[in-house]
Amino acid sequence: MKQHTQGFKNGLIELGREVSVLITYGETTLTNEDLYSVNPNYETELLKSIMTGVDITSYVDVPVGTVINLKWGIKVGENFEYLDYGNFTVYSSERQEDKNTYKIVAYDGMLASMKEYNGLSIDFPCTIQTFVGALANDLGWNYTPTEFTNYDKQIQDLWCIIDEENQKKSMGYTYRDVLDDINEATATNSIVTNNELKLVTVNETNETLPEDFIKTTSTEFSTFGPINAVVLSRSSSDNIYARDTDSIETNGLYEIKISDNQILNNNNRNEYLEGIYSALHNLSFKICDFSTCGVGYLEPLDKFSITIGETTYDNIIMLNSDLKISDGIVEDIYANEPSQSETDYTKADTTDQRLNQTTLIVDKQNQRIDALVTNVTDNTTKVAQLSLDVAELRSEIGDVTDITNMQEGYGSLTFENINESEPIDIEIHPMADSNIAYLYPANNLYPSSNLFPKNRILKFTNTETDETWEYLLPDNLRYYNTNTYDKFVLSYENEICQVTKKVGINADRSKYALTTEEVIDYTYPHIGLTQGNYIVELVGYPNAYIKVRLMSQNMYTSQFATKVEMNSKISQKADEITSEVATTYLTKGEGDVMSSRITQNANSIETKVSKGAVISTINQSAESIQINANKISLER
Amino acid sequence: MFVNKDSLIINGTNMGQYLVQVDYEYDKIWSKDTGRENFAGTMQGTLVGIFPKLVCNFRKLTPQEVHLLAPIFDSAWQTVQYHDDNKGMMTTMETYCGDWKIASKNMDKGEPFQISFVSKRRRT
Repeated sequence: MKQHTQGFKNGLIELGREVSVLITYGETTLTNEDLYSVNPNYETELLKSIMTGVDITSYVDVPVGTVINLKWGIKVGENFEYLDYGNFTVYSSERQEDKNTYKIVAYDGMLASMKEYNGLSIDFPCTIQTFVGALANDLGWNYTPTEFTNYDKQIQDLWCIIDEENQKKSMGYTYRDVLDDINEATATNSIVTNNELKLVTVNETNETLPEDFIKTTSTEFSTFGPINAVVLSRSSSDNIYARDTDSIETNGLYEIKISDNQILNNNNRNEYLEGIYSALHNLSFKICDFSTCGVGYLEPLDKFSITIGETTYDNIIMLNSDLKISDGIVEDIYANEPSQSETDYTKADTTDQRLNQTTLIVDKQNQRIDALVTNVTDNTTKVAQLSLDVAELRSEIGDVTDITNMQEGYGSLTFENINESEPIDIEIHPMADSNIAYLYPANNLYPSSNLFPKNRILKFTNTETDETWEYLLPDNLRYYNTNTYDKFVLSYENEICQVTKKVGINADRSKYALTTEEVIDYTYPHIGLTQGNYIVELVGYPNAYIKVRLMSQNMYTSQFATKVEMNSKISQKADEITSEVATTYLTKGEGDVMSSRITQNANSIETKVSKGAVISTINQSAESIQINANKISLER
Repeated sequence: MFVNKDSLIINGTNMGQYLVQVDYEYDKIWSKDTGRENFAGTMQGTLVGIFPKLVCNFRKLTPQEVHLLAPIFDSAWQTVQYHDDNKGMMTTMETYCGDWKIASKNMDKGEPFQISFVSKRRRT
């Protein structure tokens, strides 16, 4: 709100107010006698940059590029009290022969942002606050850092591209477009006042205009809000949201949708969403259009009220103002409803950070579109991916299945449908001061015949066939505290069988923590399990921690593979199409790959099928066909 | 109003000897936004300014006197020094005047006539 006195406010609605306008540039001051009319105006919405223009009809020409200062005021007492509207740059000046006047259009400091953005010369990534400061500096504006929503988020220089010479080049964005993206990502508006850039939010002025100010209303007052949903949209269909379901049920849906914002184009959108939603949640404002006798001192995003009769209309936000000063003053104030949007929430999500993803990213910076669909379950990961740029269309479908079964717990574990195989991973360690160790009776203790001292047996029992396999752990495992204990590890893929010792024992059987842990390797055991359901237990140690991974029975192989990876790819360029299908079985320490590939261009077709080291190829050109294979069979 | 014989000078010519009456009008001009067009019905509006208007009634003038004054009446605008009642002193303003006519019933003097001088600008 511009500074003014109560006398000024009272004088606006008085009969016989006297108006004065001053336009100053250099040594020249234009006054009422030089001016026919002056019309400051702006139009904006929430989350946008604001540019104020002034249309002047003058008897005096002001050259294009001139920086003018605009003040207008009314007589309060003996003197005029002025409102300073700041500096404007003359954008155009046109002679009007019929009226013998000049029609002059000027804009405030935001005009400087209406030029192509070619990147900033600062280090990236940087915080949004740092970026705004550098952008302001580039445009010759002052900027005082403040803490606004998401000010500390790290961003790259997203609005330009890097050419072959590592130079930043325009993508067609203007600085103002960049500011608009910043505003959306930070739930602010931006404005330039007296050459200073400010990121502003709605400002509650507690100002109430009596009905003396209000001349006419063009529409009924209605309310937009409270805002109870914010949607970040990508390519119009890839949406994440935050919403207040209670408020939606009570008040109806009032949604703010931010679409195709360069900052909010990646899979970290949810990091911004919370801040934007918090800033906008519960904000409401009047949709209105009314004419006043001129207010002038309210600035963009000022929130105020008006009273008409017995009714007070509050939450009016200055979003649009058209102030006409000629022989009198009239100011039209209006606010439009935000663009209608109603997201299909059944097809949206609250975050991008899901295992099962469906995303569509339009990367304008790199001129590329990436579509991705993933589905992740306990044992399988399926991926379908489509990438498109000006040179190539690539599609890839992948299916990765982990065909093992891992369980962890205390003392005993249960497995179903285990394949004929060896254990893949085993990890054992003691818990809660209960060592996994032999029990040594004292010299004068004679155990009875039915007393069985503890041992270190890991027992596998096939509950279908009652077969058992017992493996004696190679060493004692002692417990010292929750962070210090010995551990046994067995790994099939790496052929490791080792004990990591962290606990030492004194002669008097007391324990201590080793200053340096000791890793002892043992002979790798072969535990050949048969197909069936299993109980795996550390006999006599119900509280010991056990983690075991066994191979499940699976549809892919009866061989011993821990993971099957299948994928197919198609790459299409202007001069070549390549398609490839591959299946990989990962076993102990190596993989067995089967693949086929077709490469087609205008001159030739090449096909290749391989299984491990065995390869057959066919190369066909216009002149010849070449076939390489261990066996060739031609049948009529 | 007329306070002495030098109270009205137009284009450097003292009019006192030619006049029988001068009406001093201090006309207000209001802006287009003046009226009761607000929800409170309050009379409000912008006063553009006070534009003094001098309605001069001339006596019967001889042809020589008319010849002396005619260039003033024919000019597009005039410089008028008058005694302003608000300021209480002699004030200068630029004025315009409308069409003028003089009726002639005999060859000695023309009939009395009236002409108005209106300020081009508001009084400051």
